[in-house]
Amino acid sequence: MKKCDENGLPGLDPMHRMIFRSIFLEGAAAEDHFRRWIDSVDFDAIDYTSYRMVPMLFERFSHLREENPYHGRMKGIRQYFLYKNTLTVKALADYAAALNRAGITPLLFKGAACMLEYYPNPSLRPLGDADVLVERKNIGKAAGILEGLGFIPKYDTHMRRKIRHSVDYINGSNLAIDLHISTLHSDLRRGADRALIKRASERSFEGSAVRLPSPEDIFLTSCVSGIREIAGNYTIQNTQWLMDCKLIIEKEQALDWRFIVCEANRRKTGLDLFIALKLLSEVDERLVPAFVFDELEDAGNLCKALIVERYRTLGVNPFKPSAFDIRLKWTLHTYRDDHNIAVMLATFPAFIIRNFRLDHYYQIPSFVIKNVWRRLGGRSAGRAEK
Amino acid sequence: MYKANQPAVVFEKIDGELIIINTLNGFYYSGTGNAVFLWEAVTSGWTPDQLKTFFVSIGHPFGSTTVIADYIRILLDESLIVTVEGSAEEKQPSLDAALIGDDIPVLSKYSDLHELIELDPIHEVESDMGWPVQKKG
Repeated sequence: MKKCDENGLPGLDPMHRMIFRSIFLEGAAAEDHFRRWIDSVDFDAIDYTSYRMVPMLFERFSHLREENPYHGRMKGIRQYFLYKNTLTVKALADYAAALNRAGITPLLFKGAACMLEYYPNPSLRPLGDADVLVERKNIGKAAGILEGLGFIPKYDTHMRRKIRHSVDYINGSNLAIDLHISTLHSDLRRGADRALIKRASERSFEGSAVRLPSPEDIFLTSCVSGIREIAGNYTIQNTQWLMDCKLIIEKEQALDWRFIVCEANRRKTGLDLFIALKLLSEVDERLVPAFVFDELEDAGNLCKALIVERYRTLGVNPFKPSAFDIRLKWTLHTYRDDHNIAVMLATFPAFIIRNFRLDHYYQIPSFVIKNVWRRLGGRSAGRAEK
Repeated sequence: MYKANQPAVVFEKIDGELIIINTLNGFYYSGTGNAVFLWEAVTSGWTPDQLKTFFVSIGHPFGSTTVIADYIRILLDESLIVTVEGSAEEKQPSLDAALIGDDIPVLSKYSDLHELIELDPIHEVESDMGWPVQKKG
């Protein structure tokens, strides 16, 4: 399912927009959006984000039970996530205690950090998993401890390769903990999180010592991780992080927006942040100060270029790119659905220039083999085709 | 006197229903009727005697039955509350919960953690009750 706004930017699903407006707004306006959502939703076919926003919706609108044909099931989903979150938090607390005993202080981020810091009631923030970051040098020990607590890697392939970003673990009760050595999938350089860890503050979590990133870092990782799922193909699957961002903005009156922009640019995630903030503004334009978009001018231009590229592949060219930029071409390549070997090879040096890291280097052999195989009329080959 | 067995036990009131989770074994409890009122009273420092006196004073049937003692016994047996030392205050603690007529407190127990987690809260539950009440048939 492809979704984008009238400008070609990734846009919110109309149903999600109703949900978020019913939660972000107040009074009659909020209730109006909730009623419209109730009238429109096919509850048996509810999507992932809507499902995970149900606890918050139920908390806000349980007084409208007479108008809500899904009241019973929504209450059940609220209770389900209370149960699952409680057990996930317990598992996380046990893990943090075990890490402490081994001399490791884990850093919690994404959903777990937001849940602990910003939600009035932790059970209102459904956790698919709990994300834990440890320093690269401790990853082996941390993995061993987690396995000692009954967790196993969710995907076999993870353990066969060197860990680059994270390993998803799951236990017999289907509770999940993701063990990370990197917070952002888009920035896997060694030491990329050193500054984030330094800025993090220590706090007690169920009697154990954990570290939580600064509000700006929690905000940025929430945005970039959320966008990661949509940047590749303009498909919006999970926008629950919009709620996280809204609560951070509300609580942190002195949120340092300029720092967020600088950090996003430093970590080469300005485009992700730009798209994330556009989505946030789509729900409530008061949330993000206007100057932030000005400061993200480069990301805005890149976004426009992406739109051009996208329309061009459809045989339409609504804008004319101002200048050829090989670095931009590479970035476009990484965001495209239909990887083109010629573009990839031609722009690979730009990748080195722009990023000076090896994110996509490993893809080259498989792209070459895949495309040559295709041209020869053979069957699909390689992992990327599965 | 008693108090909730925290931190092992997590509880919350949702839409008038008492939810208690024992994190040590994953058991889930759903309290209806006057379960919320009695839970709140017991865990906020009311002694069984104080409760009995209270119910007698308002002419409530709980004052002349074993409902209170039975309920407290279940909570103790399930390790949801623990006994604490100390003398009861003369003035009974205030309560947010309201009595629901003379409804007997009912505490339903769900003990299969795996089944609870796997139960689909959209498609596999009674639509008017919701999770964790499994759809019949």
